[in-house]
Amino acid sequence: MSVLKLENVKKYYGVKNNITKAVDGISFQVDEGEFVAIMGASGSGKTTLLNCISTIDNVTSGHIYVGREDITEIKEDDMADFRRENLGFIFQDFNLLDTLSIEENISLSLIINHTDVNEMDKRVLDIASKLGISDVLKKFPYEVSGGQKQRCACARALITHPKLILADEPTGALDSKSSRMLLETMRDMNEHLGATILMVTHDTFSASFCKRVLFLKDGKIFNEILRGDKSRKEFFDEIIDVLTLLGGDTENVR
Amino acid sequence: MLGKLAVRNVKRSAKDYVIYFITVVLAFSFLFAFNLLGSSSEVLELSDVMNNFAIVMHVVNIFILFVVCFLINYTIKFMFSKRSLEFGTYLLLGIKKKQISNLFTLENVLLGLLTLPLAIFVGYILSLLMSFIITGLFELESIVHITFSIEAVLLLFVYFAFIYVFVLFLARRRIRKVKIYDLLYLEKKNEEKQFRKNKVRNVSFFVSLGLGILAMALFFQEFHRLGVDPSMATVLFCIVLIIFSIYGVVITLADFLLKVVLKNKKLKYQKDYLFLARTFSSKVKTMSFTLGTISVLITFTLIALNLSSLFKAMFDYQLELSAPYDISVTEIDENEIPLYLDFIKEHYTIEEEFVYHGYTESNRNVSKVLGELGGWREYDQVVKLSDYNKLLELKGDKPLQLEQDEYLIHATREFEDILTNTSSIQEIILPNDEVLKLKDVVTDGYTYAWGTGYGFLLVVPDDAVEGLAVESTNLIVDTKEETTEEFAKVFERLLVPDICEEEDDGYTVCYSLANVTVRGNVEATNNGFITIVSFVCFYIAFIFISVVGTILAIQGLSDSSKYKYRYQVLSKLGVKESELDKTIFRQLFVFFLFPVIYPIIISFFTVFSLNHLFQFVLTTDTVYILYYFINLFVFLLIYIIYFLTTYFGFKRNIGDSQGGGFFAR
Repeated sequence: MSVLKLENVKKYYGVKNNITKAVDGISFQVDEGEFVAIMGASGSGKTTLLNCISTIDNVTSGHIYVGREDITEIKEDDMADFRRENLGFIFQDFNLLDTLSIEENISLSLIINHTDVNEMDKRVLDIASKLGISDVLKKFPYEVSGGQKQRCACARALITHPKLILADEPTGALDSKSSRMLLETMRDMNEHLGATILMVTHDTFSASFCKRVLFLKDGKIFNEILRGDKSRKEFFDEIIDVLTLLGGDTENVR
Repeated sequence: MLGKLAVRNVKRSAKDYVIYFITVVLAFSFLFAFNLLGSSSEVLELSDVMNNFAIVMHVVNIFILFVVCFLINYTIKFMFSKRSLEFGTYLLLGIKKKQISNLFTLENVLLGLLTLPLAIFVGYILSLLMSFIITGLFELESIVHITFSIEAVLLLFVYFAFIYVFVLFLARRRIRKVKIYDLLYLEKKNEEKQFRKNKVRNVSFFVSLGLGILAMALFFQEFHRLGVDPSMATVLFCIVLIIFSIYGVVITLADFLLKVVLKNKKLKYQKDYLFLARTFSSKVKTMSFTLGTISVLITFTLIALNLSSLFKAMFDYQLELSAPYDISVTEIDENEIPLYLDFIKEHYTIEEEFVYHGYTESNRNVSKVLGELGGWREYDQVVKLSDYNKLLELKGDKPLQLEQDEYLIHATREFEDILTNTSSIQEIILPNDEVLKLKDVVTDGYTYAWGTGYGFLLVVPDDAVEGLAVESTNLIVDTKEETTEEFAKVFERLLVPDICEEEDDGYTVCYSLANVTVRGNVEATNNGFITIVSFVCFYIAFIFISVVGTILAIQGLSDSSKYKYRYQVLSKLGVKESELDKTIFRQLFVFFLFPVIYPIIISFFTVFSLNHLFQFVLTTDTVYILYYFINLFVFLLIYIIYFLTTYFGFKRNIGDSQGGGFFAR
């Protein structure tokens, strides 16, 4: 069953003679339990696409379905409820609230949902132990490392059991060790907790953790590859090959 | 939970909230200081008597209210932008906009209520300080008493409620309309180009300038017509025009200047011009309306300061004109002089007494020239040079010399033109056949204490009065103590009536030919009105300066974090610290200088026009220029203090990062 379905989505910027086609007619779908990466050079429209899916930005035309609901048609007032119930977010710069402890950051959406306090504690502890951040729960974001912050963001995204988790360059601000740990966490989230994840990245290493990779170029889907039974190393090499074909920046070829 | 969140957020962003808090406290304390002035009994009484004065106070009140409203709206917007990322995250997590705007409203109301008692305290101290400065520094009589009043407090509460309802309504609307995307990426946004087409900008610039010129011309017209009271409607219309003009010019000018710098490559790449021009124009774009308001305030400040000194100068001149001596009695009966002196001695210590005669010049050489303009006397009044010099000396002026065949006219300024341009008085013949040549026509320092009904005085060599009839005997007394109003009342009763007339209703009214002037009395009668107006003008000017300085300083300091990054980039590119300091100085200097230029021009022309109203009651008709520059100096002095405070604060904020947290952003 598809969790996310895009139909000919377009997003144009600018006026009259100076139009930027950031997203130019993209259609694809993500099924339940998938872990999908979207890759592309800078300026290929990855982030814009993700912003559209996450209801942060409006589309110019086309439809985006999350579950059965068309999010391009949802009214502004109902948007908050929809986001809260269906989507989880992980950002490059964490977007944790400085004023709340790690524990409170994780439980924030539950608080908003008026979940029972005992139930809430149980869920927070549960998810924290799964993500390995139980010992920093009482600390504040500025007191923990980048990797821990990002795992906190993951926990926050996971705790409401959203239909879809959207991640925008989640390893962007992390060192390689933390990146690896985070990606492994995300893979576990996908495999063991059944989370459906859509991740935007320009990092081949990150993408190689996914089950499927979509390549964007100039706002259009250029290619799509599946991991299947391949090892992560083989998948990594395959991604590199596509990126070479993509002819984007050489920085993508390591 | 939301409430708890709000409290925590306020705690966490304490540094930003300090700025917010200080601004709101200051804003309300200015408002309160003005309320205190408005509720002082002297000002209230004056408003009762003078309709125009009441209107002016209302206009100023509305304007201050508007500015405070604007200032608070501005700070709330500032806080909102600081926390945009946080609010964006809330929205993403599924908190409804309504909840967020409720949270934000609650926060602001609580903080606002917290500021009120402080604002009342600060405002009260401020008002005391200001009246102390005004009475002390500008030597005004302390006739306006600023006292703590409950009414002013209540009024402040009303204003507070009004302002917060209005401003928070705007804030809530802003939140309702904002897109989550904008919240998340607000910080990275560039300023938008205000005028898409240069032509539109150029036209707006010249139209605004034109409006200013039109307003100045109208204003000049209005005050140039002698003897006709300027109409309040036209003046108000001019003020509106000026306000529009200032906003227009300030908003367009920065863009205009930027274009000039960017177009000229030589200029563009010289020194740090490019950086300065870009920084400045982005600043102006984000706060063009603020800068416009500041310019309007500066204009009003300068005009208020000048009005104040013109009124004060007018008062001083009036006093010198009518009562330069402590006590003077003209046309006295010579036998009664000891009686007067004895009476004065009962009240004061006499430092010096002087009796002189006025002589009759029945040929009326001078009054014939003046015709109807001259007084109602049948003779011209002549005094001896020695007496005249003594009169000057008692006034504190320097004595004059005359040759044997010369004479001198000392007249009020109105007569100067006629008398200097008439040839018939170049040589006059006195009734005793003395022929005298005119040496000079003096107008400075004339006083009515030398005799009413003339407007001028002939001074001749001592020998030349021989054979002239004595017209009057006059007494001048210099007392050690200051004379008072009460003394004058008693003293006048001493006068022996010379003429009695029966009125229609049967009563007999008696007059005395003698004319008594007591300095303390004249001072007290004139003092009331003029001093209060003068005081009010000063007071308003000080409030305005404080508002302007506060806005600029807070503006300069509040986004120093933004500049921190820019200056770090410059520093990484290899700009030396001393050069950075220079650039910071220049950046802030331009920022502070810009809103002052146009107001200086406007206010000068306004004062120039106003001078037509005042020039006949001032010592000279160009003395206003001196006042203007003194006032400008006073203004700039305070302004520079604000500038330096901002500069050092800014440097410290930038400097914080240059050490450890180099990559801390």
